[in-house]
Amino acid sequence: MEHTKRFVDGNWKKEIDVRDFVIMNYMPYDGDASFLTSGSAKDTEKVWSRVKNLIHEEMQKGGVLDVDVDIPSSITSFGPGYVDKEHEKIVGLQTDAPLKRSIKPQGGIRMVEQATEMYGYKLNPEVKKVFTTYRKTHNDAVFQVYTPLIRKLRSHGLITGLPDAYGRGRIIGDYRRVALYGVDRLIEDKEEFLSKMPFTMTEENIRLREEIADQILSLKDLKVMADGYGYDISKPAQNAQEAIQWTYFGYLGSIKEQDGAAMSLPGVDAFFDIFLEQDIAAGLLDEESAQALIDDFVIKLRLIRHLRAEEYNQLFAGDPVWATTVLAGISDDGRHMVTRTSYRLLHTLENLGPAPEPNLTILWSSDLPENFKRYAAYLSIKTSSIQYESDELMRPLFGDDYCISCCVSAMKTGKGMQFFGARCNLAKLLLLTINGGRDEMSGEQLGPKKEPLKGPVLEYDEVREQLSLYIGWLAECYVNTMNIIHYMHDKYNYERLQMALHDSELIRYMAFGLAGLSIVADSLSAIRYAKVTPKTDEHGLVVEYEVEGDFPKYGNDDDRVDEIAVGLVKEFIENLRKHPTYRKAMHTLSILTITSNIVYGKHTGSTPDGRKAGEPFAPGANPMHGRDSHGVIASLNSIAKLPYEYCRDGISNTFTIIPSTLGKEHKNKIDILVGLLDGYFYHQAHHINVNVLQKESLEDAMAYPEKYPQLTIRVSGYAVNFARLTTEQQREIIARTFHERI
Amino acid sequence: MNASEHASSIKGRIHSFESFSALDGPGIRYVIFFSGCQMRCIFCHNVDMRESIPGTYNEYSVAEVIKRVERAKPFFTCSRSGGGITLSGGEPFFQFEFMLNLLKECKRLKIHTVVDTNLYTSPMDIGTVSKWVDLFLVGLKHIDNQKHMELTGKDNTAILKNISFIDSIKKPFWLRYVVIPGITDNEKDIRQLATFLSDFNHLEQVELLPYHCLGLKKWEALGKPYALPDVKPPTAEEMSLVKEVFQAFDLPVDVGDVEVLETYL
Repeated sequence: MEHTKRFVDGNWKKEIDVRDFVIMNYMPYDGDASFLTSGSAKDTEKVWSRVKNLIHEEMQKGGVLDVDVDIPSSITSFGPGYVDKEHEKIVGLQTDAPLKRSIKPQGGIRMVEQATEMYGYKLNPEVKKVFTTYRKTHNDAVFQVYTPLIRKLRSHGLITGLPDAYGRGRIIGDYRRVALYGVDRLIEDKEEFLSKMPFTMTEENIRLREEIADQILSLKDLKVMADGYGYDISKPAQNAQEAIQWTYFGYLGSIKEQDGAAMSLPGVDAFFDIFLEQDIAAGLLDEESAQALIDDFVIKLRLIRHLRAEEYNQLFAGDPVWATTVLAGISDDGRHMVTRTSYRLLHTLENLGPAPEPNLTILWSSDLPENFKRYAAYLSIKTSSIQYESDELMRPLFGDDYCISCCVSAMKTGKGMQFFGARCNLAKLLLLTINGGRDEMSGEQLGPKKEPLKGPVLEYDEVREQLSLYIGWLAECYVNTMNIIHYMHDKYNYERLQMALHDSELIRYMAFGLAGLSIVADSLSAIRYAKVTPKTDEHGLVVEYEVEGDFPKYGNDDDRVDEIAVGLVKEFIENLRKHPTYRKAMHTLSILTITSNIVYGKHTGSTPDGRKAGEPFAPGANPMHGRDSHGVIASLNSIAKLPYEYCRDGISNTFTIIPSTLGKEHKNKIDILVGLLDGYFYHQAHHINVNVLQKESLEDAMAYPEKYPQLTIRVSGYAVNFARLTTEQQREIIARTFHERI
Repeated sequence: MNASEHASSIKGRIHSFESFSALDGPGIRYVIFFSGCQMRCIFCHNVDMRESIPGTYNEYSVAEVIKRVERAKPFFTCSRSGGGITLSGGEPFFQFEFMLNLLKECKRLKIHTVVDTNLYTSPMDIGTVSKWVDLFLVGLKHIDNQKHMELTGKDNTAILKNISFIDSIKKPFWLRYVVIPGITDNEKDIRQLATFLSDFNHLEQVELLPYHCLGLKKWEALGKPYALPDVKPPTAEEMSLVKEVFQAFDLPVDVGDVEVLETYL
């Protein structure tokens, strides 16, 4: 490997160890943003302008520009595609044309068929025939094994958003390996592992042998794909352009093969920076051409599209792909990991304007350089496109080379993966508890039959005790449902290339989720501190609640209710842990709703906190809209109380503040936002989406979407283009708490 | 009962808490709204805090308030924005003893303190608390005594003397002035105010606050007639005119930025 002479040696020369390469070679940057060029390079401008036009066209066509209905996508299924071949520095598209979506039927043919029809296309009947007659899909397999109870929990919305009809996603290949080692070395490494596996053919060993063999095939495919673009990626990248291009190829191969709900990236800032700074020092690049490579890379990430069905879009609004990439953080040796390329990646928000992708995620520590904190805060105020997560909470668990999948799910890069499990509806479970196991909307008996709690007034101890019984019951159902899904996904829709870019032996997490936490905490608080009278309908089903008196509400830093919320997450994870998982995955829990808080609301009857049937939930771990009446810090402090220890798959908080509330002068606003972030994370908080927006601009954007083609807003661990949301979703966002102080 | 027991037995009548403000003093502020006020400003934007009527406030001991403030403390201390508490209302001096005890406790805990006040009080009280106050935000309603009477129901002679007193004891202060078109923005009055202010050495900032009608809802909720139903907030130009007068007197004046954020440096 010729190029490696230029780099500081380390374990990375002996083994596949990108982290070691980064730590040995990266240079922390303490300076400010003044080194950045203003504006994009000419070529980038041309490419971006073409992309903007295509995106506009896509919006005009109702959200989808084109679909290939004939070719099931694979790493090599489509020949090379370009936006503007002459001016692109980083190349590669999912299909042969920009924004043309492809079908990936291995997850489920029904979803593909629905999606094609929804956008006015017709799936090639031959494809349908193959995937209904000759080849079983993940979706079919799961439903063969589901029990009647699991089907009911799913159809009544107690557990929803499960990846049982489409790709599970949430797996992050270490795409940097392609650049650092070249594909041949990666194949050798996998072959070596295979040769050293025990001879005993247990089910486990046979499965792993087959998986590794598939991984090797996918790496060979990746070389073929890159060759189509004229690149030989069998050997390591020799310069910055190649390092970025090779890394992108690894990612591109993966998103051609899979369309999982979230297809995120590792952190690339320090990695790319090493190559960029070397090329700059050698006189091969200047700042403008270095930025152009980053801009081009980001443009590619903004072009990623998957074909989604209606149901999916309701849960995950705005066509997200979660090309999440982490920036900054602190290394295990105590140096911060801000590099010039951390700035360059953020600077794309200025050069190319705001956008949801890539999902820029700053690993925050109070020890990050003040200059960088301020630059990030400045861009948050300007673009509302950044999320922040606590490096101080995650580094002790995941080391200094971890990545974030989707919104808030951390894992060691190339060493950990997760089985995505969406979420269950805790608010609905509370109503089921009160109704003795009956569904509050249909009246159907779903859970074990218990005495309904009809009052005259709801007693806290009684409700809480019965809720515990049902939590135990749901946890068992939930774990077993997940076991089925991931067994089948491994079998019928295995992520060959993504797993090829992992260590052969890895840590697995099974990621469960909760929705409706703030509603249940407030409901229990109302039952305890106010007077809640249940009202039954003609079938004896409790459907309404009369609440008299005031009660402490989650979001006001009031321990009386915040501790109820903490107790719930603790109890839930403890109950999940009682049940064994597929492949001995470690149970984790997230408090995250994506945008499904609206759908959950629709499927949930009136709750004892005063929320009416059908009304949306608050997103993620947020307090319910308008109930956090003591201001920003009290609201943040409540959320910060949820222990990461119990919620290792992340705790999502979406925060919206109007610009003038941050202060009168711009300089102050930046410092104030930095102060808010430092204070919030000091309290052991995990995540925050920062929106700095006027409610009026969102209302205006609803009325005149054409005026706001790039208006981006963070919703729940990710960002969306506001115009891509449905009217209902837009209204819900406008109804959320906008922290305001006059 | 000894002195400290006496201090802890005094409860404050607090209308509400606002855990975050970037507009009531330097940095991030935890604002405590005291219930009750001596003045009766016709444009009061917190009219719901003016009368200390049972049901409009809750009572808290100093320790209970401090417990809340402590939760916000990391937000003031761990970044360069800084911050602390701001006593507002209502009028903090209206509950003198509680205010004093609270301020002492904050300073013991090294929390930066701001008092947002109309200074309608005695110099002796100001002198007593000032040791525990880092910054006063003085809300002067009008320089002209007659107009002040009309606007607030009170004479401003003592207030103006108190402003001079604060400066004489070398206590930093900001002067907050609400610009109400046609009522407080008369050029002659502004000049008179600027002349008055130009003598001071510890005036750090003149903060011009554009009048807003958002307090109106609170008047309606209380079923009280609002005296200025037709007055509109000042335009940017009207604010600029007032600002320029202060600038001509070389006073540090702030109306906030209006242009779009373009650089962070």
